[in-house]
Amino acid sequence: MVKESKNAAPRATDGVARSPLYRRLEAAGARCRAFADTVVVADCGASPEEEERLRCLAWADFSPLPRLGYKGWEALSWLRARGLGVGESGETRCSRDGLLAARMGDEALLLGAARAAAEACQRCAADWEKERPSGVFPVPRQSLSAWLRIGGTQAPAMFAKLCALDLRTHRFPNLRVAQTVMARMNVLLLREDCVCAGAPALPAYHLLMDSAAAEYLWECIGDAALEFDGVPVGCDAFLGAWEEAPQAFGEKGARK
Amino acid sequence: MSKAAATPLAADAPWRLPAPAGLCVRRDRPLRFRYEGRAYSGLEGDSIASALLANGVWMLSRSFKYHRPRGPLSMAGLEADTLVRVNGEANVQADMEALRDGMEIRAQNCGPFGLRWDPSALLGIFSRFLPVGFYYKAMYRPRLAWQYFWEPIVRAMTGLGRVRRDAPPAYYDKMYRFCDVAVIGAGAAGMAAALEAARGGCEVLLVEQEERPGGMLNYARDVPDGESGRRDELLREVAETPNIEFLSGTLCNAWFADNWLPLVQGRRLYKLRARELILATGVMEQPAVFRNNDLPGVILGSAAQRLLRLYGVRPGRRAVVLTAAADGYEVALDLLEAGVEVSAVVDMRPAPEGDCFQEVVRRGLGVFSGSCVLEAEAGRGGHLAAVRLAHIISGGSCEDSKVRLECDLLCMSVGRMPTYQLPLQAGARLSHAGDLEGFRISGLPERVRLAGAVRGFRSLEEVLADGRAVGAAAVAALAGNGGDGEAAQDFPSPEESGAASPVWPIFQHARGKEFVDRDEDLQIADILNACADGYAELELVKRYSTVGMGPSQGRHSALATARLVARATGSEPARVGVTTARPPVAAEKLGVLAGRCFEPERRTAMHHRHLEAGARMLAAGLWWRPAYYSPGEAAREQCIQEEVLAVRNGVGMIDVSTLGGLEVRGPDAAEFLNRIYTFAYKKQPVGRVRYVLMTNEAGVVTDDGVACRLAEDHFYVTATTGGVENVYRNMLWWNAQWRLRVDICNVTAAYAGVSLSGPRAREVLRSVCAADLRLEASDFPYLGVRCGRVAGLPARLLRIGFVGELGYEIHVPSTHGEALWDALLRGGVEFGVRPVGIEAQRVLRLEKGHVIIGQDTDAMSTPQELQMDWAVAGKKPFFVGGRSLELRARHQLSDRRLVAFEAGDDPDLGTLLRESSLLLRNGAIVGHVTSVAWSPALRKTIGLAYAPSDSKVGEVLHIKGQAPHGKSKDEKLILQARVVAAPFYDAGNQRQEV
Repeated sequence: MVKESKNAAPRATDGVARSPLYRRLEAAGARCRAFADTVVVADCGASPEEEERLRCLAWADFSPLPRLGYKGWEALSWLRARGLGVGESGETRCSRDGLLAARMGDEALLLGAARAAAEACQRCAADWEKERPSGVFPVPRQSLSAWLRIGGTQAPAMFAKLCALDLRTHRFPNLRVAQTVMARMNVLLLREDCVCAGAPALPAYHLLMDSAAAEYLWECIGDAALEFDGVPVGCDAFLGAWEEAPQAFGEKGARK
Repeated sequence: MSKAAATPLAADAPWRLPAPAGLCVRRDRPLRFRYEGRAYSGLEGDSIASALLANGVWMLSRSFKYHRPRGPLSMAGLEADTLVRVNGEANVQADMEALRDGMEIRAQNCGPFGLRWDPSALLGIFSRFLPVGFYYKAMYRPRLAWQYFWEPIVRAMTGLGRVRRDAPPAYYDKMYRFCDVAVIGAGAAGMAAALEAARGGCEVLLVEQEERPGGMLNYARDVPDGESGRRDELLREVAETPNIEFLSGTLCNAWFADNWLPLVQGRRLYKLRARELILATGVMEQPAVFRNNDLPGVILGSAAQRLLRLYGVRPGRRAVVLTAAADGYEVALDLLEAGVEVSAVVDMRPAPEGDCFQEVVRRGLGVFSGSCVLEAEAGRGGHLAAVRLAHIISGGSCEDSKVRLECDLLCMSVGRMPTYQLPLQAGARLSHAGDLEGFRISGLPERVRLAGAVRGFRSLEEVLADGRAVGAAAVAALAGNGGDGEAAQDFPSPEESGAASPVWPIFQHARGKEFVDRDEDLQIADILNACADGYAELELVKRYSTVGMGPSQGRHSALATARLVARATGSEPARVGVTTARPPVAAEKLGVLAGRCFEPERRTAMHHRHLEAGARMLAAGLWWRPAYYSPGEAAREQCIQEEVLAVRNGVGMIDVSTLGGLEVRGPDAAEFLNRIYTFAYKKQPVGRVRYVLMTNEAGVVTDDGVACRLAEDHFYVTATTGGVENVYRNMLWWNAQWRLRVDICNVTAAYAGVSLSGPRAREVLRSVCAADLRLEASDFPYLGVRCGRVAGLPARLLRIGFVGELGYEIHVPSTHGEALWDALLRGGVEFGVRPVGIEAQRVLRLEKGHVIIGQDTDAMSTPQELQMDWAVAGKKPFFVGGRSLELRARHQLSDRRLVAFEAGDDPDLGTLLRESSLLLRNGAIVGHVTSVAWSPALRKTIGLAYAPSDSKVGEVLHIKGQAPHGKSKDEKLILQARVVAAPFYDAGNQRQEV
């Protein structure tokens, strides 16, 4: 566990849990900061310009942030009983604390990108340990899948160089989930647009991939993004200006 | 003479017409380029060919076989004659490639003295000795004559350019695209269809091969309300319609199932998936076949119109027009208005008619009706100088020539053929109404439609109306209101369409040189001789004569060939048809196919630690694994042997993260494993590990691993690195039928694993483990599994011994893998721990006689053959493959066994004895070696091999050795090995169970 400190800048290797991409980020000039009980890359040396880069195309490593999955014939009802909205397969619900609950077949995937959501994610894991409900089986998404956040108006065009699925914004709506193949690797793709007050929503996606293939896909994305001037950025480009803005929520939990 | 013709021509491009002629060119932007070493000027918007023609340069290449001078024919990229070398790049289409400043252009397939004087052109004199298929009859004897004599000569004299080996690498890319309606061809029909589909709310992608949309609207004469008014109106509508996306300069190069279309645009390949496809690909004008029909200056009528209108180039001074329809009269009028003197119009029809004919007559041009061009004559530089005309008696035969007309341009407008490649690839067929008519397309699959000229419509109003109707039909189909595209489409009659000329435009000459296929220099006699040689089917004619096999893929030869074959075999052109249309439609660069391919790879959490330690990595499936560690550039064999001995005498650590990991959870987990694997698991205690062996329904071994029972309802199962995906798929498939209360989850990437092995393994582990994790054999025996913390990390520990020593496999979340590796290395310093690669692991397991699935097994291996009956629980009521194994055992179906052998104490044997070496008995092959290695612990060469099932311990095996480097492969090298009992090392298993 890493404690937040205002004095010394933490490093990606401070904790025992490391993102499979930390070397890539260090090479890109990453600067880290504590977030919840982990270390995230705050920026890649170009803050605050990184928020502007995000308007076109940028991506960040969210791998250190909490995420988990649950499978089994009782998984959905257990999660719903805990007040977590889990929709139909292929849908994502967003709770008030920002926890994303995506449903793929019989698995529910919980993503805790915002601070409160991260805590909610951890609470859920602790509850399962305590209850050990039958028919509910955790999927170790924290280590099984690396997590990238990709955003920008050019993101769908960039995806078209990697993925045979039609991910254009009017075909793949916000809060939609797809299990698909990207650069010949299985991935989970979840669209959750970046919103901030007074600005139009920016297409943004959560991409979960086999953690062993994270470096490979990082290279593929970097190559595909070249023509769109896409760059890797720190998490703050997503977590800071965009997602910490005051937000309103729809009736079904989807962000407006 | 028209006003345009009276204006002086540009001095440095003497054949350029003054403005406003030339839709494509920018007269304020001159470009300089060099062709065959000489400097020329052109204009921005020119193609290479148009710029050369504007300078009076017609000869672009030499033909394939007879090295005849050749120039452009279609100005539409349909023939091989315009292929040139540009800045070192071979096979660039001069009539399609845009001119750029500073281009260095060279002709191809010409001799050492350049394009103008090619000694190989003398071959034409001896053409009677080089009939079709002569190489099949002449070049195969004596035995090596082709390889060492003929082939070098043929290769030096023919070919399509040379690959530039020092070409700089270029970036080629691929991208997916999607649309509701794809329209291929942005002519009048294509644009009308696109607009109609867009009005219906569809997303439309309009694809055009040429840079300028409009198709024939750009150059054809019969455009009403001004030359460009209708085109500009359509273009404006297309541009202003938001749901139409237009791709210019893009070639749709194939059709694949479900409207999957590869679109090539420059260096990018778009992979388009269209819900509805509209092919508005137009027609290809066909040449007439007569003697010397390939001379520079003999072009299609549409080519002349393209030159005039698109590029503002006057194609000749004095022209003759050969026609069989109204088209030729339009060409004649266009030429006349551009200042070209038209000597005559030669109409193959006996009684010409129509408005254009009347206009030509009114202007005083001579018309030879019922006549043909029997021969073209070459003048200076091989260019057309005159034509000889003859009166047609009947189809294909004519009187002797009595008229000779001097000219430097012959335009042919004798018939059209639908652009059939894409429809035929989609499954359509060509029909042919009669001997003298052209082909038509029918039998299109669902979701594919034709529009406009490709369907036989001729007039602009008909084409536009058809485009609109087809676009509306596509919208209706997408809305679910009818999907039978072809049934709803009415085809015009040939007479109505004017697409086909009811004449026979093929005229044989006593002296030959009437070219049917310009790519391959095939004459009428070649096609007829192929039929006479017994090749009566078109596909056979094609293979024997190579007709249609050149770069133009029969675009100008298919119709003439079908007619000739039909007449020679007494058949109908409809029955003869055309040869199978296969992708690609046109030549495509290898770079387009090779560009931006994905080669997935997976790396363990410790990957970079291995590299830092000097590991030599090897690919194992998608994974990268350390083969051995050589930090000081030590030799491979030495490194491997040191790593083996480190495990035998001290302690080594192997990254086993690549092993498959599966969580099997639920109340029926044990029952599930009992059915899916050969062994028994229902009574397996919690905290214990048991070997798993998987067979398929035929009883063939497909995978192995271990099952760790972590709880009554929870097993953690490992699988082989390359096999886990199949195992996972298998498990899901079987349980979909069994419906047991069990959940299966592939967690391979979730865990990093380190195998810590060797007599000092426990000491290393103790140094990094919490005190509450008891490691003594009494507390944590062999084949035990524990959960605890290692170096503070949550871990699963498995006491298993693949390498035959005291060993622990430590599995932690992959996010912690690097930290685990570091901790074990640090904790193991005082015990001499060292990283060990998989090459050493392979030797270690061989010493223990353990098999590797995939290396020691094949698609027939059963547990019995592997002598692993101990891993099959025969009393179980069922497991996958159980019934087959029972039958095989009962009927003694197998006659081989995997046996262990020793081959002596000479370390060099390893170079002679290799995996896959053959076992011989009385000269017959009776088996093969699957694994072999020099054992540093035993100081001998050991291995596993499939041998006859009656092989006994002590028996001598005869193994065919492999000749070492530098020795002849034919040298017989029979080595002897002795069958021994496995394992080779620590037969009592005392070392691993300590």
